[in-house]
Amino acid sequence: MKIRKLSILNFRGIKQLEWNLPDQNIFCLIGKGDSTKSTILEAIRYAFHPQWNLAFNDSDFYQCKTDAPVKIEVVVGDLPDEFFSDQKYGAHLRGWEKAAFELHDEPEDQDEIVLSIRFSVEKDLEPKWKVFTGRTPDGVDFRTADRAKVSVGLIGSYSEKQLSWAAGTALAKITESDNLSESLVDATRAARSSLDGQRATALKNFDVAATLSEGVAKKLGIPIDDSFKAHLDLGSISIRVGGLTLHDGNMPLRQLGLGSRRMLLCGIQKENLEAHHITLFDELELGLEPHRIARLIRHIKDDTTGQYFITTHSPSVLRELTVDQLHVVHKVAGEVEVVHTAAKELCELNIQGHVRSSAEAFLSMKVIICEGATEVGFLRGLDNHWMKHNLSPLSYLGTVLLDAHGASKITSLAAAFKALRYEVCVVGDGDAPLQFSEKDAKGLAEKDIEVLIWSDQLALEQRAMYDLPWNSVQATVKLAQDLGFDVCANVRSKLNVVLDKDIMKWPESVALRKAIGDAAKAKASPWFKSVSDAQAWFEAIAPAFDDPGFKQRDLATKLNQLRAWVDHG
Amino acid sequence: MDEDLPEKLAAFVGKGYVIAPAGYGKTHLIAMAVKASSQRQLILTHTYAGVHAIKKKMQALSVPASRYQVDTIASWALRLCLCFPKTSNWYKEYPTSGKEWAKLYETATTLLPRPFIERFVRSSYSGFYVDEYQDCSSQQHQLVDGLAAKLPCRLLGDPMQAIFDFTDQPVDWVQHVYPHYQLLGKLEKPWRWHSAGAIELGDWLDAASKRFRAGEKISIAAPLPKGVKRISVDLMDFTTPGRLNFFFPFLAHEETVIAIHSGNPRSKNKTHKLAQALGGKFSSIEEVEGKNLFSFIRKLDAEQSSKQKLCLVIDFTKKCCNAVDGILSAATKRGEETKVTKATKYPGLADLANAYLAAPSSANLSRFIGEIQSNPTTSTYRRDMLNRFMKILRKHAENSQPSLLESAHRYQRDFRHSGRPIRHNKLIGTTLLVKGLEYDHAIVLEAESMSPRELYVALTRGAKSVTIVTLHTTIPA
Repeated sequence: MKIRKLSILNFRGIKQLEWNLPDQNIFCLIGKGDSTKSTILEAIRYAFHPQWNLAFNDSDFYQCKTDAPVKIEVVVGDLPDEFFSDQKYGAHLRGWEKAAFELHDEPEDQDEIVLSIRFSVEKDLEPKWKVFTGRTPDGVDFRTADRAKVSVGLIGSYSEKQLSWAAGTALAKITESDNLSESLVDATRAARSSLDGQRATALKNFDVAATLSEGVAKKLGIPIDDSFKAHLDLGSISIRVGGLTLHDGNMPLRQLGLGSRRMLLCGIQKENLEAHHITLFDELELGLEPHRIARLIRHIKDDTTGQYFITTHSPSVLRELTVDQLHVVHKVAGEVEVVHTAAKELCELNIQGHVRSSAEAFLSMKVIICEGATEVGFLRGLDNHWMKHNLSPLSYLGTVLLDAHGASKITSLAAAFKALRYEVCVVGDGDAPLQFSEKDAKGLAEKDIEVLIWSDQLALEQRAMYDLPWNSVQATVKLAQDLGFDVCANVRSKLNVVLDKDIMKWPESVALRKAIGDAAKAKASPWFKSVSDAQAWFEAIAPAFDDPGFKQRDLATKLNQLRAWVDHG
Repeated sequence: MDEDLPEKLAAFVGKGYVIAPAGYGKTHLIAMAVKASSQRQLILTHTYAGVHAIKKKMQALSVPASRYQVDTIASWALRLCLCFPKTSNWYKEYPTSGKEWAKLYETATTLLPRPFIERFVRSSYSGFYVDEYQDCSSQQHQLVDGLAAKLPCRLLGDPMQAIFDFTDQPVDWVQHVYPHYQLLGKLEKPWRWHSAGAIELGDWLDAASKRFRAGEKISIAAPLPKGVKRISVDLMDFTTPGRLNFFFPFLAHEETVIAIHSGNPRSKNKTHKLAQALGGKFSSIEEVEGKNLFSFIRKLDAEQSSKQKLCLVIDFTKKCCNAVDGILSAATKRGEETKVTKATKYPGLADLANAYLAAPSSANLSRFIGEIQSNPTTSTYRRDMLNRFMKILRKHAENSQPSLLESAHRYQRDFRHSGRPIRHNKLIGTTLLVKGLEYDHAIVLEAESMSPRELYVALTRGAKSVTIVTLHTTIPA
């Protein structure tokens, strides 16, 4: 069975969600914390809860408002024939047009035949499961036994129960028995007879008391068939299915590491008797090293019998998946949206490549797209500087710096992240209009993307050399010299003047500022083209930020603008 | 019957039929065949009486209920169309006219090739049976044939019993069944008569049926076997006062008796006339649709003046009861208020007529007609029609539906499910009305006027005896 559409109303953090699922087996949900990824998994679990008793309380309602009923509606396809029969849900068939993500109340000839399931809870906290259609809005009961047949298993925060045979566990599902409890009666009998064998030792004291009682009975004339003995009473000491747990030799498997237990559960889930399953895996990476993550995902990818819903916060998990399998969850004021990274309208944006190269960015909330390593390093330095001045660091605000590796890539990258509903800010140079033009910048701004371009068509280094106080310019050249550049030659190649060997003696002039900026940026020997060099550069000029004159300049204003975006934008 | 016929039917996967005359253990065969198959079967028949009979047999033979679904073709087709109203474009929950039903069957037939319906049908049943196939209309046959393309199909019926109203278009066995369906077996033993202790009658009927099927006639001159009797009387000879005397011995016991006229339109009224002539001792039955009743109700509903209403009611009552004229006052008969004096013969009746004139409600009408019926000098002979009307009046009075006609339609729906509410067990009907029904004794009236099939249906209605009323000594004429 496969889920085709999921709608949620008023369930925990979700006020509303409508999600049309592509025809896939793996759905990896990513998004910032509290974007309700795990709630989506819980909703699926509740819709197919295999027991009639499901404890529900006020906090399961959106904002605890019990007046608005919880409603989870799931369209499921790929159903076994018995669900289509007249005796089950044959009168409630609906059609799903996969290509158009459209639900038809009655199936069209090309449609997949599906059922709509509704799980609802009202103020009385009484959960109801129904199969319904537009023509039968009240629906009929979606029976407990049928819900169990869908075989939904959640691998969440680990509970001791999970590697036992308790009702509803994956182990219970793969055990061929109509009634597990009954099968256990035999085990109880075995325990009783084995105890009998050790009567002389284990039951010695009890039997003494039994013999005493026998004497009393005889005196009172109570008939005795055989003789009084202490014995296990099958009626009162039943061994419960929850007490039967998986062992390796004598060691209970609950002593295994967290990651191993979760991997094992995932594997068992696949083996269930229904030959199909829906597995919900909350925080797949929990307790697993990258190589085991890769192995687990391989296992999941190879399984064609089930649908997997995974949440993760790990770049290692993302790198193992393809964009087909990635879905970004966004929540604004309770309205939740799930965006498929491989959706048709996003296919030109090469998101796959970005996932590989910038997995971390996909796990953030805000992305600052930088033209190159220089900007990344410079902004890192700036981040440290902000921290020293008691401003929140970028990481704290869920903001990530992303290297676009060239001006030409900025536009597509920014559009891609924006399309996936991330907040995006672009920090670009103005010196290569062919690769990133004013027009591009405008286009991005129209998409509600913050764009920072140094004015006068200048690159960062050039802009800095115009805007910084002279001593910071000198510090820049000094740093370049320390990094091993022949700064005098570099600058002279841009401006034919005689320069003192001592940089501190260089006279300030606009022409020289320009020449230094051009030299720092020069293609043949750029001074700060690695992240660490650029960061060092920022540290060298950091004192300028205390200079009131500098604060009025373009560089400083733009960086302040960036700060404002980071804080609020 | 072939000993292993049930197993044969259960294992069969194509399109086949069994020749199964009435009373030859057809229901038993279906139940045994369903019992022998491992998966769920659909069993379709024509009437709710048939549905009940099959279910009862299933229970008696302890066939698990999960193994079958029994339904009428009509309600199965209706449910299918209503389950998918957009696809079928069918929204009517209660079809009424024959035309609407015919349209329903066509609609259901067009649904069958749809992929999801096929999936639904195959998921629900692993095969199906149709009982009393000779009673299928040609539209019903199209539906069955469409279903047979998806599921193993086994028809049971007897073309010898195919009798129809002239308005219906019955399934043509020669054209539609024989060439396309495989003969799976024939039922040979007249079980009904054997178990009723009328073995001679059963064997005589079996022999007669073979002659009829061969297009031959049979002699009904003496000697006749036990349970078969011929009365040489001309019912239309009104000059002979004792011509109806042979009916009276049947009143001496409590067993069920059916007197049967031909189903041709000329004979229809004869049943009511005969019931009237017998003073209601035998009561005539109506067709399920109740055409006469509905046309009366329509007129009554449309009439505004209570004077005219009363006149209509009196007319109708006269068609159902004898001696109505003599108990009503002249004013009542004119549709006017009666001044009740000491000379008024039945003051209570006159009061009720006056009450109806003052307020023509269904409650008042029901009391008025009730009073006529219980008057010792009247006798009701069209009980079936009058009872139905009284039930409709009560329904209308209790539920205050918008119109009497609406109540009548609702009553008609229930009636299709529950069957005729007849407690009287001496009845007169036509071959068309009694086909498929079973009585202790049958009286075949004017046997010479019946076609071979009608004759066969009429002769086989009585499990204990059959009395043939005709001047002829060979039948059919």
